[in-house]
Amino acid sequence: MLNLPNPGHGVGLRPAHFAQVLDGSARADWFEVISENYMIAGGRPLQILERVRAVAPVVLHGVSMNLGGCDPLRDDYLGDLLALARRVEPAWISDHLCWCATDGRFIHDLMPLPFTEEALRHVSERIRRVQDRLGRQILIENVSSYLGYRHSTMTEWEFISTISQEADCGILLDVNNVYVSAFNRGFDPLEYLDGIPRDRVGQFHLAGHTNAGTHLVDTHDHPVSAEVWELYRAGVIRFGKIPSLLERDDNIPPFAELLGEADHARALESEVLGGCADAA
Amino acid sequence: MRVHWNRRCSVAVPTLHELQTNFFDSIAIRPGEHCCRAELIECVASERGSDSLKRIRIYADAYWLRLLDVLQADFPALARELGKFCIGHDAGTV
Repeated sequence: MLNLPNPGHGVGLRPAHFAQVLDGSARADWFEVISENYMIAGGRPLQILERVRAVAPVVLHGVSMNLGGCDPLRDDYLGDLLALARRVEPAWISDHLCWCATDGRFIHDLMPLPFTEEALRHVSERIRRVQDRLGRQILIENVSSYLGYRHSTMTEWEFISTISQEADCGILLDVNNVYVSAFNRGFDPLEYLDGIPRDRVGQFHLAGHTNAGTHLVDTHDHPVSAEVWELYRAGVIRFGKIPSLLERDDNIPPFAELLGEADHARALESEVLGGCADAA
Repeated sequence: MRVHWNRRCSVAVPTLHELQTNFFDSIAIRPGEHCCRAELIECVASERGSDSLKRIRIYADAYWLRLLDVLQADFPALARELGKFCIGHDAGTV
């Protein structure tokens, strides 16, 4: 079972908005930061993060833990992450259900895993070890994918659900990633949501994508699409009051625009849950 | 490669490590489709009418575009030449 706080509807903290966040003109329920950008001994980014942490909850979201990789887990990486966690006391820590390095070579992308028993056992064991090292449960995020493997023996939602139970971790359900992968690989995104256990989802991600004609690309450079908002609505219906996070990594708009999308998530949640929204 | 057979498909099933090594070597050693390993192509499902190579190419293009983007900042001439070589257009337009 997860026992996480619900800070509401947050926004990803990006350098373009540092000044506004620090002078108090840009406020959000909470902020998510890319862990690796702050896993350093000092410097301006870390000072800014500590000042942000003083006014709002912060969540650490990693992109290179390599949970699905076959290289040994990096103890120095986990040590740095633990030190950062002790410093900023994040509401929770998350990373991706993927691989991103092999044989010591990093690909700087979130690469798809085959949904096999071998991968399931491998990733579950690594998550358990990470959680032991960090002394807390983590959330694992479903990634966007542009291909599937012929030797997969289960669906993606069966894969992530079983891992969450085997490793006793939470799920960061990226609604946009479900939509993008569903389009690219031809499955029903609602079937995906229905296959995820209600008690494992600790956070939603919301983001925009780009239509490349033959496939969708998870670019995080557009507003959230109408289709993804509809899927988010379905997610709220299934999972209830879950904190959401608006991601934007390119073509970054004024902060007010991002905040508007976070407010839209809040409004949709209230509309779906009505009077129950504050009680859940 | 340690070969065994999956009941659901007729391809040789690589271990997780073999799959990842094949994937990396197919997209990140040299640009171009000719670098894609046959073992990886055989593993990738063809879905929505798109063939396996096109699917893999999405990851390859993303890798080289990221590399060009990083090089562009400090080594624009190198990025321009590499851009011509790996994706067939000038990195300045990436």
